[in-house]
Amino acid sequence: MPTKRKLMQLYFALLFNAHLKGFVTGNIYKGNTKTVCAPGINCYSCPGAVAACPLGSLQGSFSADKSTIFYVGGILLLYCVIFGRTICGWLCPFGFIQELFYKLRTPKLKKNRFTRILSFLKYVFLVFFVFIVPITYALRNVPLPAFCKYVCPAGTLEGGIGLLAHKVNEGYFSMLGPLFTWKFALMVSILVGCVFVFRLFCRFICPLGALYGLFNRISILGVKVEAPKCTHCQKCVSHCRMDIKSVGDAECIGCGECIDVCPTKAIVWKGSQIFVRGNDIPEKTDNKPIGDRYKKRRTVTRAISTVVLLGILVGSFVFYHNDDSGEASVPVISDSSSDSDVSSDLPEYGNTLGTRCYGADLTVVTADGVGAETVNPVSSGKITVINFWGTWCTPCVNELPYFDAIASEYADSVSVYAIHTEMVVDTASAFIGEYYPESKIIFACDGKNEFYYSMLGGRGTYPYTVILDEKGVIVSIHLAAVDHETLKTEIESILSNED
Amino acid sequence: MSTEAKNAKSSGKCKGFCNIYGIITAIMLLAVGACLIAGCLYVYFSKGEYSREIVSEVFSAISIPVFICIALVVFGLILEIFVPALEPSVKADAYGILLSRLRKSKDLGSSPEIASLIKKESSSRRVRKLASMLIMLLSACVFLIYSLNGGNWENGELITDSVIKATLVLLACGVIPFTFTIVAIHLDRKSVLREIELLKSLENKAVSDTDEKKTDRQKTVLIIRICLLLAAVAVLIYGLTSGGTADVLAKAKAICTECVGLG
Repeated sequence: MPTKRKLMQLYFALLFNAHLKGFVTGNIYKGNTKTVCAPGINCYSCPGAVAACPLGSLQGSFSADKSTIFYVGGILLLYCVIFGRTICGWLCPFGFIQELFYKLRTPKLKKNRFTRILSFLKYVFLVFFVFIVPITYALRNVPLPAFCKYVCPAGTLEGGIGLLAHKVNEGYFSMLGPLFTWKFALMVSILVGCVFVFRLFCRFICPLGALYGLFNRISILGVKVEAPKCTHCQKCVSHCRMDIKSVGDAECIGCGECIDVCPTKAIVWKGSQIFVRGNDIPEKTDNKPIGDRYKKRRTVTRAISTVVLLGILVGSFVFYHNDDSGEASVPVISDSSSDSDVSSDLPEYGNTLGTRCYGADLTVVTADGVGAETVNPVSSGKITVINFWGTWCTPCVNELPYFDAIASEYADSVSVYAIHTEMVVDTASAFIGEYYPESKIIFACDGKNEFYYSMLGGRGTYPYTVILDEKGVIVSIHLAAVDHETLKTEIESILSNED
Repeated sequence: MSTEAKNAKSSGKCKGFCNIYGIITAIMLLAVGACLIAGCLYVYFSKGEYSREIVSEVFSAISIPVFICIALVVFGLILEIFVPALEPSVKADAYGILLSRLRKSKDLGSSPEIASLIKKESSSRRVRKLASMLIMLLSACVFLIYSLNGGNWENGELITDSVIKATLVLLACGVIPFTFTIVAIHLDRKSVLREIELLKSLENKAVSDTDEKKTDRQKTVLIIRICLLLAAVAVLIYGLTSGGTADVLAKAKAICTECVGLG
C-alpha cells in the first residue's frame, strides 16, 4: 500500500507540474488550464505548475468579482465532498515532499497529546490567515492573500526558490527583503522539522487540510470502520502517524495503512464494494488462493489503469511542451506610431534599459468600463511612467497612491499610465470608480497575452514599473513595488539631465 | 554459538549502527538548516541586499556541511536497501484513547466497588499531573528570577564562576522537574493500565437501538452528501457561467511577487 500510494503521489506531483519547459526557461505557464484549481497545495507561481492553487485562489477570490467566490468555492466543495482529506494522502505534492523528508532515517518524534493539541492550530491558520485577514482587507479593496504571503512554505519553495534558481530571473534578487528572509527561514524550519515529525505542515499548519478534514466523515472516498467487526483494539490508531482519535476522523488522510494492520479486517475503503476489493475477501487471513477469475480481472484492471494514467501523463508533458498559448509574442507596433523607422528599431521581447520603444495603442479604462478611446503611452512626448498592476495584487494596489501623487505633481512633464493586467476589467473599473475617479493617472488595459507588458521586459511578476524618457528610451525598471521618493528622485534626475 | 544467536548479534549490531547513523544525520540536518537560516539572516542584516553573487558567496561557505548531508542521505538510501527500516509497531500511546472509549461504553453503576477504585485511580493521576505542573512552574520561576538578576553576576566574582553557577542553577531547574515528570509518566501509565483492566471487568452499557441509530446516521450522511454535491455543482456552474474563471486565471498566470515571498 505505501509504495502504491507513493507512486500515486509522485504521479500527481508530476501531473500538476507538467510544464517541464518552465524549469528550463524560468517562466511560469500562462495557459488556460490554470483556470482549474489543483486539489492539493501546489503554488501556481512554480515554473512547472499547470493548475491554480486552491488556497491562493480562495484568498484571491475575496477581493475579486463575486462570481469568483462561487467558482472557487464550488470547486473546493466538490473536492471536499468527493475526496475529503484523501487528497492530502494521495494527491498533494507538498505532502509528498514532506513524506520524502520523513523517510530519512533519523530519530522520530512520535505523536502524543502535545501534537494532538497542536493539530488544532491549523484551524486557527484557516480562520485567521485564509478568511479573516483576506476578507478584512478585501473590504478595504486591498487584496491580501495572508497565508500565501506570510506562511506558505510551498509558495517559497516552488514559487520563490523555483524562480530564483533560474539565471533568467536574476533580477528578482533585487526585490528580496525582510519578507523573503522570514519566509525562507520558516520554510527551512518546516522542511527540517518534517525530517523528525511526520507531515509537520499538514498536521499543524495546513489550512487546506483543515478544510478538507471537516468533510472527512461525509466524503465519498476515504476509509471507514465497519462497526460490527471492530474489537476496539486501537491498533489502527496506534499505527497511524497522524493525530487521529478514530479512523476516518478530521485528521485521517485516508492513506489506508491501517487497513493492513487491522486484525479483524474491520477497516475498509468507502465504496469498496463498487470500486475495489473489500477488505473481507479471505485472501490474507486464510491464505487461500485467490480465484483465477478475480486474479485475471485484477490484472486487466491494473494494466488498463496504468496505461491510461501513463498516457495522460505523457500526453500532458507533450501538450505543455508545445503549448505556447500563454507566451507573449513579439509585439506589433501600432499603425498610429508616427516614427518612420519603426520596422528598423522594433523593440524585442524582454527589453532592457536603454532600449527605445515606440509602443502601441492601449484601450483606456474608466470608471464606466472599457471605452473606445485608445492611447499610446510612448508617443506622448513627455516622460512616461508605466505601471503594470492588477486589482488582485496587494503591492500594486498599495503603490497606486504614489503614482497618483506623481501624476498630480508633474502634470506638465510626466504622463503616468497604470496598465491593468489582462483580465476581467470590471473589477478594475469598479476599483478606479471608487478610489481614483478624479485621478490624473491614465488607466488602460493590456491587450491579448499582455503584449505591452512583455514588450517592456515584463517576465510575469507584478507590480512592474518602467520609466521612459521623452524619446521613449527605457531609463528605469522596477521589478517590485516602488515608493514615492524613489519615483520622484528618478523623475527629477531625468528632468535635470534634459536641462 | 548457534546460528540464531549469531543472527541476533549481527542484527543488534546493524540496529546500533543504524541508530548512530540516524543521530549523525539528524545533527547534520539540523546544522544545515541552522546554517541556511543563518546565511539568509546574514545576507539580509549585514549585506543589506540580496544579489545572486552575494547569495552564492554566502551559501558556498556552507557547502561542506550540505555535501556531507547529501552524502549521508545517499548512504541512508543505500542502507535502506540492505537493512530496511522497521516501522515501529506502536507509533503512539493509544491507551488514553482506549480509556476514554471504555469510559463511554461501560456502565459504572453496575459495580460500585470497581467504580470507587476507578475514581481513586483517576484522582491520583490528577494529583500527580498537578504536582508535576507545579514543580515545573516553580523551577521555571526560580530560573527566571535567577536570570533576571543576571546583571549582578559580575559584581565581585569572576565571569567563569558566574557561568558555572548559572549552569548549576539551570541543571537543577531542568533535572528536578524532568526526573519528576518521568516518574509521574511511569506511574501514570501503570495507573491507566489498571483502570483499563477495571473498566474491562465492568458490564457494557445497555445499547438497545444501536443498529437503528446506525442506519439513521447512514441515511443522514447520504442525504448531506447528496445535498452538498448538488450545492457544489450548482455553485460551480453559477461561478463558471458568470465569468468566475477569469480572475482565477489572471492571478494564476501572473506572479504576485509578494505572495510567493519574493518581496
